[in-house]
Amino acid sequence: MASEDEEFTMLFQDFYPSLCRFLECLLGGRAPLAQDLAQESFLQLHRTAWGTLPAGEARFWLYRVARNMAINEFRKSNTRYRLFDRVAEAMRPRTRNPEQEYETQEQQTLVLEMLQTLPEDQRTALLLREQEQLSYREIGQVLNVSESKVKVDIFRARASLRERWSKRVKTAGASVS
Amino acid sequence: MNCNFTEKVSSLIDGELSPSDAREVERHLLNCGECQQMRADFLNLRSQIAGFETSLQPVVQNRALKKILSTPRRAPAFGLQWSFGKAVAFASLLIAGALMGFMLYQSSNSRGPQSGREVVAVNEPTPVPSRSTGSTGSTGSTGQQQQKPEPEPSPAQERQRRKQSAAQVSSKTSVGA
Repeated sequence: MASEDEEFTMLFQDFYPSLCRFLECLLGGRAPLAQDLAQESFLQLHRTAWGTLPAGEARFWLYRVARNMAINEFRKSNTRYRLFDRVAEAMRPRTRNPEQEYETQEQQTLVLEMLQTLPEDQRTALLLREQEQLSYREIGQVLNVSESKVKVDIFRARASLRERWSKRVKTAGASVS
Repeated sequence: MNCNFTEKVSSLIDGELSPSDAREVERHLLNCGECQQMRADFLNLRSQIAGFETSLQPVVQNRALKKILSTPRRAPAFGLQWSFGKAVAFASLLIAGALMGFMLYQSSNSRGPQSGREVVAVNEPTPVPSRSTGSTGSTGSTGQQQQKPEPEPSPAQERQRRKQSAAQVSSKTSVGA
């Protein structure tokens, strides 16, 4: 039987990258901050709650805590990048294919910009659904809201993004022509 | 969009509809171009959001894990580590103990008063039957005089009376001699 540290390490390896991705999208692309908050969430879990949560609950606990930390960050610093974040982004190692890297970066920037236009609860619900494949019931558990609210938030988020995306495509098409 | 099925299309792609509702929406999609386009746009958004790649580097991930595992855990109150399972087991034991104590108390109470009654019954003196048979205390209604029955002498009075009669007998005997 695996020790508690071994079990924790397995959970960390499984969910730390996806928690970072979730937070990056939630925060509008602030990768170093997202990684810090993800680390802090796991640290809190390890220090206080590990071994006390029912089986399978640790993941939901992590996303709940991480989301609350992100909300606190919104209140502190609005949407401005901190200087350190910008430097860290510039120093990030690049792939060998600059063109592919550029396209990927453009696409991801667009996704982040679109997501930032949504209210926080719609954005969070949509990210948990599309990136983590959580059910409406599980999303409700993480966010402490009803399933029907989750359903409505996800639909509204999609409808709003769909409209902006189509306007963006039309604008890009008009500029090319 | 005027279609009433738009929100259901969102739930359909999430697998959150009942089988009968899902069949109904699928039938509708065969005939509604607007909803078909909406489903395609929602699925495209999903691929964009789910395809977002985090900029997390393995070295950062490993460093975060080492830092977390090296941080000591905070001890719970009173130095006891309680898991959910242990707390439930302890609570069950307390409830079982309380129920057993209550049942023992009830059974001892139901036996107790009877033995008291028995003691009282043994200790109570046997009442002496009354000498007069007539009604007591009434003197007037028929004009006849009715005798009030003599009160029973107490044991002390009885002993005194016997002493006195013995003394009288001995004094008569001494005079006659």
